[in-house]
Amino acid sequence: MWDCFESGLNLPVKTFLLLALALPGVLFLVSGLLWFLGVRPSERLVARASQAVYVFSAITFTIEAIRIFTPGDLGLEMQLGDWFATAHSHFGVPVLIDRLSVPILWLTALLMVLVSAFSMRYLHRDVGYVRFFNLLNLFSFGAFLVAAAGSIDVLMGGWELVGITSVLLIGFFQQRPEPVGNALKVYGYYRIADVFLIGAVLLGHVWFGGVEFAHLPAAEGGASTRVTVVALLMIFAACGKSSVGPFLGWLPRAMEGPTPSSAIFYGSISVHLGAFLLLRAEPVILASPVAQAVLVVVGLGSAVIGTLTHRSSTDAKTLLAHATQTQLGLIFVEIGLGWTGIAMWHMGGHAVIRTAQFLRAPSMLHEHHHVYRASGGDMKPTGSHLEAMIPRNIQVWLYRLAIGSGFYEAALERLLIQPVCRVAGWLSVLEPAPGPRKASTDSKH
Amino acid sequence: MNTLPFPSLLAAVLVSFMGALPVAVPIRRIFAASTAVLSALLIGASMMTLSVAADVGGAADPWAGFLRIDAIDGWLMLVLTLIALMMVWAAPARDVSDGVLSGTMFLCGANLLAHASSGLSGMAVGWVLTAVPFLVGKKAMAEAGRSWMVPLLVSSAAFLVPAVSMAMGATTETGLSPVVWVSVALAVVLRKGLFPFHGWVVKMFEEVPLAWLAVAFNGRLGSLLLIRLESNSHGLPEWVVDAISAAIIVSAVVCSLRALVEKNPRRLFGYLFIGQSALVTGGVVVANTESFTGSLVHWVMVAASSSGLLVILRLLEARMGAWDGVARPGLAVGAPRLSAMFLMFALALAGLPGTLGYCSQDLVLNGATEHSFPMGLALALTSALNALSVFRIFTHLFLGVNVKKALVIPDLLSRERWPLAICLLFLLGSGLFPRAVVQWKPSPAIHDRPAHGANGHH
Repeated sequence: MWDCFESGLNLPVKTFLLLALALPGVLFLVSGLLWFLGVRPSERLVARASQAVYVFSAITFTIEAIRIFTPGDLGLEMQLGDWFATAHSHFGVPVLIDRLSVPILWLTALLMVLVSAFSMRYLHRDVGYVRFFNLLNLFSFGAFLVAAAGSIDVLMGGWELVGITSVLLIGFFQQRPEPVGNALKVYGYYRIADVFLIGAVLLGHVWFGGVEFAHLPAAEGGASTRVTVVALLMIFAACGKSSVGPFLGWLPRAMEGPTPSSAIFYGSISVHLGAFLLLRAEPVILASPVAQAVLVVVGLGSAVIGTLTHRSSTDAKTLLAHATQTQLGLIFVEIGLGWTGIAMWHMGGHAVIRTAQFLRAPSMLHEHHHVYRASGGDMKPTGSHLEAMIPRNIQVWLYRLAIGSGFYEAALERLLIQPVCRVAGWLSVLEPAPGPRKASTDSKH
Repeated sequence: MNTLPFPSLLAAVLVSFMGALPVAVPIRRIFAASTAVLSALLIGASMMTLSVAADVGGAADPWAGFLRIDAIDGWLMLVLTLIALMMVWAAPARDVSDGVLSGTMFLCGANLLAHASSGLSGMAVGWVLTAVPFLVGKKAMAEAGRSWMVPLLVSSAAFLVPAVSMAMGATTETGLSPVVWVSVALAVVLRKGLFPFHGWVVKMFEEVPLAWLAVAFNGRLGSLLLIRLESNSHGLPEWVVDAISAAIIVSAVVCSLRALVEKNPRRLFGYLFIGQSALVTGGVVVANTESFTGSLVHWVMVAASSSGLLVILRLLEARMGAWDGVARPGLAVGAPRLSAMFLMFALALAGLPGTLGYCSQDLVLNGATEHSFPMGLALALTSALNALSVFRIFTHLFLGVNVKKALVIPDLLSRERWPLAICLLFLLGSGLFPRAVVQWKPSPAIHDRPAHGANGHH
């Protein structure tokens, strides 16, 4: 089942698959090198090269999707050898192409074609045009790597590339302090979430002898404490990537980036990678009732806060961000309940519709006026009969909760960030006092 | 042990020291860089001799028998010399007229001497000499100098205890006496600036030339001492390992927390250096194959990326003058390549996939977790927080300012661009194809330490 030659996959198809996975990364490296050497390619060349790569990937993954959903063909695992090795350990590069990874790969490539076409016009003559496409290329390479990873080790590589490109695109408009400040905060969230994934990888290696998805411990034999610990670590890592549960605060901040990147990152692909990790690690998650319960509670809580908050948001992209959190929370609940098939369809459908909404967000007001005129000016808000069922004082309380985004950020600031900074400040008593700042220390030596 | 066909090792050390000689200002950079190149070539020739002879045990210098080279030391010495070359070549013009270049080459020579010495006596001489530039001059005599003078002197004195006792053959049946091991632990903790003695390193970063720090701290003599003692007949006693491990864990966490709130870039780099030292030393003391290999690769990675960062920081200081650490100068507007370079070196240091830092951290963290889960967790947390700190300083220095209000400084000059580009290409190339670098093998005398951690048995 897992061997590519047994499954009838011949060498050219394998080569095409690997090319489709790797080409965006290669394009990023080449483009970066040219920039460093002072070569300034035209907007058209940059966009066309990127689009060509995405179209190639999309066609390859479409063919692969047709093949893999043929009855009887479940998937393949390719071992690309060891990336590096020591005497007692090796970092293998397994690639897993199956009915879980192919839809994500296909969707990513397809949406990248769409978003790059949109960006060509949206970012025309922007000073960061080339930078944007470079980061988009690196992102798609990272997302492909996550989707096709056969082990958490490999997934981790793509995971971090997606994270750093996300942060750099949030700070894309680098002449303004707000996007840059928000990029830094989001990076903070990502790094803390990464610690959970690193913890899962490290413990997986020590306890299970490896972190290849095909060999993760399954439900047979009941859940051990070790399985539960690793499952919980992966859940919190996924929460970080999907802005769910304890990492609820970053998604609205990420809306500072350009609209096309918001669409591909926070509407479709990047935020769903957390849920993808959980689906990929399904045997571990479903082997632990504790992990399942945590997933349901975290997902449900995020969905409730998300739906409340998005109703009180005052700008289109923030509204969409909170609405995305709601759906992600529900996807987490579905995974926690073991409805992984539904979760998969939910992810796909949500990614597509949300991308469309994000891409249309800049013209939302214009469209509203258009619809308003077409309806003859008779557009009453809906849902008031539901609101009437809630007592007035609870309505007010819920409204306060919604406009404060669940007071999550304020609580985080007061209960975690400020105490940590205070402790960090206290630790200075063990050091000599810093000197006054000088213009140039070295030359006076 | 075999002998090298010609005294290339002795020549490499002497040539490096020669680079410290005061020469006329107009030729000072060329002279220092030439000595660094010559030294690197001599070390490269020695290594080539070793590889041709397929001699894994190493070879001694024919004229100075106390100097020897093996595959591991050879690479580290070569990296050290190349760092000295980069620091000398890319130094801003104002550094050429002072003693910065001489001090850099002197530190390079002293570090090479310590690395090449086969016994602790020769290493002790190198150890003491590496402290000399920091103990003389105006800065050392000033009030600030006292904060690093005492730790440097005490660590040098502490190092002399094992060096003298081993030279006199004063060992018990189970190896060195406890007093000697206490001295070793003290020397390592003080030298590397591990908690609670981290303050002097930070102060030194604030005050002394960055080129000196790049060479002095990337020599990592504390880790080298532990490697030397690991490979002697008895290895490190368990309690010494535990004591140093505890210091590593606390240092890693404390310095990453301090870095989070530090605004002065020089002090911030001090904390980051201690955090990286904790990763390297952690890999060495854990001493299983994975962690040891990872530690050596991390050593090389930190040397390359931190040197790149220090070069850029020094160039920024020379271009923009004083910076209070609060205002955003928005330097990316005028210097996009400088900004991209800074970001790439910072991300390599943080372990971005595709750079050597990812591979080295993977190895160190896996090895450390196998030995002790708290250490693995502390090092992982340190790595994550340090990445955040270095990204914060990047955003503060380069981004967030309107074009009209940005401080416009010159971008990288070609003299500065190529050393940095080569350094970055090394980090990327070895990160994408790490097999060639991840071929370090621990000395046959170093055996895997029993695990105490996630998989261990208490």
